[in-house]
Amino acid sequence: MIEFENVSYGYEDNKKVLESITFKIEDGDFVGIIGHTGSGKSTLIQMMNGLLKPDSGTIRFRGENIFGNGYNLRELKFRVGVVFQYPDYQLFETTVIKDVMYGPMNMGMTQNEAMDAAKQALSLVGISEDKFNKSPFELSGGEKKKVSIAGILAMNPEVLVLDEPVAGLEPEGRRNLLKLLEKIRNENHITIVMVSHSMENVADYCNHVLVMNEGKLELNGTPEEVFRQADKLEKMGLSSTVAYYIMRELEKRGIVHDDRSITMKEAYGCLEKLL
Amino acid sequence: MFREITLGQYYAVDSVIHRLDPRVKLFGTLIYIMSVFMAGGLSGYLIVTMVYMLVMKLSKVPFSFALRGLKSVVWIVLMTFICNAFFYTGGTPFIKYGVISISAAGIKYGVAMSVRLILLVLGSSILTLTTTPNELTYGLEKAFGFLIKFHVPVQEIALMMSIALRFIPILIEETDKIMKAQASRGTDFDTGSIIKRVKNYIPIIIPLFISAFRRAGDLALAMESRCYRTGYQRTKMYPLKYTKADGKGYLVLMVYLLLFTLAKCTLLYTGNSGFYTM
Ligand SMILES: Nc1ncnc2c1ncn2[C@@H]1O[C@H](COP(=O)(O)OP(=O)(O)OP(=O)(O)O)[C@@H](O)[C@H]1O
Ligand SMILES: [Mg+2]
Repeated sequence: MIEFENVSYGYEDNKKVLESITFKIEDGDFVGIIGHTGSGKSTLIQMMNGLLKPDSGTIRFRGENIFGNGYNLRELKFRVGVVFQYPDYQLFETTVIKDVMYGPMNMGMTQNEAMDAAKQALSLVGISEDKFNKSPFELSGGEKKKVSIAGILAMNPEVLVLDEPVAGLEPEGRRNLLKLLEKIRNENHITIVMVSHSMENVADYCNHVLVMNEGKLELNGTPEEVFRQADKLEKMGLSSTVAYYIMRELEKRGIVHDDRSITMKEAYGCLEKLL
Repeated sequence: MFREITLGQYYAVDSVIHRLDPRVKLFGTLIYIMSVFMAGGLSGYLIVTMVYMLVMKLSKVPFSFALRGLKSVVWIVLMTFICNAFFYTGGTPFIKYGVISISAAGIKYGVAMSVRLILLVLGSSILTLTTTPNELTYGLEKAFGFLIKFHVPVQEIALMMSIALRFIPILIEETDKIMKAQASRGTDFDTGSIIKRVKNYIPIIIPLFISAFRRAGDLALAMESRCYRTGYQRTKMYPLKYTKADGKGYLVLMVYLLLFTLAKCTLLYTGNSGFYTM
């Protein structure tokens, strides 16, 4: 549903930040984007809803060139919702609920419709009702993050793009958020794109992984295809998953054979059979 | 979106003028402004224009870059010209309609005033073109250091200036990020009535202010935890030091001022009004 074709981009100082990026995201994918800091991940996702225009190449959403003549870029922003890394850049209203209603109201919903959408989104991300009328600035960092995600979810996008959504959350908060993403992907049929620095999270939840390195798309495939190339990942300053390394070690010592696990769950399943 | 705005108009090249001590440049700007005010008549304006051209040449700043500084005052120049040319009452008007009277003398006066204004703006912009904002702040702090004796908090004012200068690029960058985050929620910056458009900027301004206040608080805390106190004589990491070139700079400026004043007085005395009128 989102296609990048030879997309290149440089900020004003003309250094190439993205170089000839080509990939395709399918309907219902849970895409993980990984890469070293400064590799161009945030730049890449800002193109998905047309915030940045590539210097060359084309971006298509559902087959249509989003920078083609007469394409409605504003409406695209409601269909491809982007949640930024820092919630502080988007919270501004006097109450949490009003803040979440901002997007839906911009879409042209009535007050009541927007209120319903906002309530639904907030309870989905796990913000309890007693916080609805609090000022967003009184919330903790993690709660702010959830509210900022709700602010995009309330617009009911077809694709939800998140820049490092779990950064700054404790393990349980991370798990809940990732479970939530999985749930809205399965139940609401929303395609999800997530930038993450956690190989484990990407291996556990995504079905499609993009690996960025110095502005180039270095690897593009299923988690299994990507995380089995540990050498390549290490050269880019990344790594494979912990489970992968454990299983390789066990394989070396002749304990397991022909194992393809990259997640803890898979590794556990494999080891359980041995016991 | 906002990144293109660079602060001030510093043009980074290496030149004699760039290397001068900011105090010399401040003094030079003052002298130049004085000479522009003293100048009159064709010959006077020719001289100050030539002086400007010469310094520009030395500074290696492209003239087209310097001209951009005029954009913001073009309306003021135009207004000055119109006011002087249309409402000047000294000469014999060849068109008179109500309060409007256009005379040759009026037009001449209008042109002269506009040229003077343009030279003032261009001349003083050499200072900002060749001096970084931080150097300028230090220069001002030093130049006005004597005011400390009169209980003017010179150092504090200079500190405030340099902090403000330091923060402007950060705030510009943040504005860019905030605008992107809000645009992703459908903020529309370009359509609707004026009031609606102003309202559309509220979601930008509030996060910006909150972030600025938070940063200011953090900075104050960081300064205090390193025992920053106001009211002490503070030394500088890179104190301003005069070099030989600066001495020569002062000399050239003094000679210029002297010659200019002499020329003006002589012409006044001999009654040659060509240099004086206007
Ligand atoms: N607004 C900007 N103007 C100029 N250069 C920028 C801008 N934003 C990012 N860059 C540069 O573009 C490159 C890629 O930045 P980007 O933010 O896309 O990296 P990233 O992969 O998201 O990194 P991180 O993991 O740290 O968030 C970096 O070298 C960065 O310095
Ligand atoms: Mg980033």
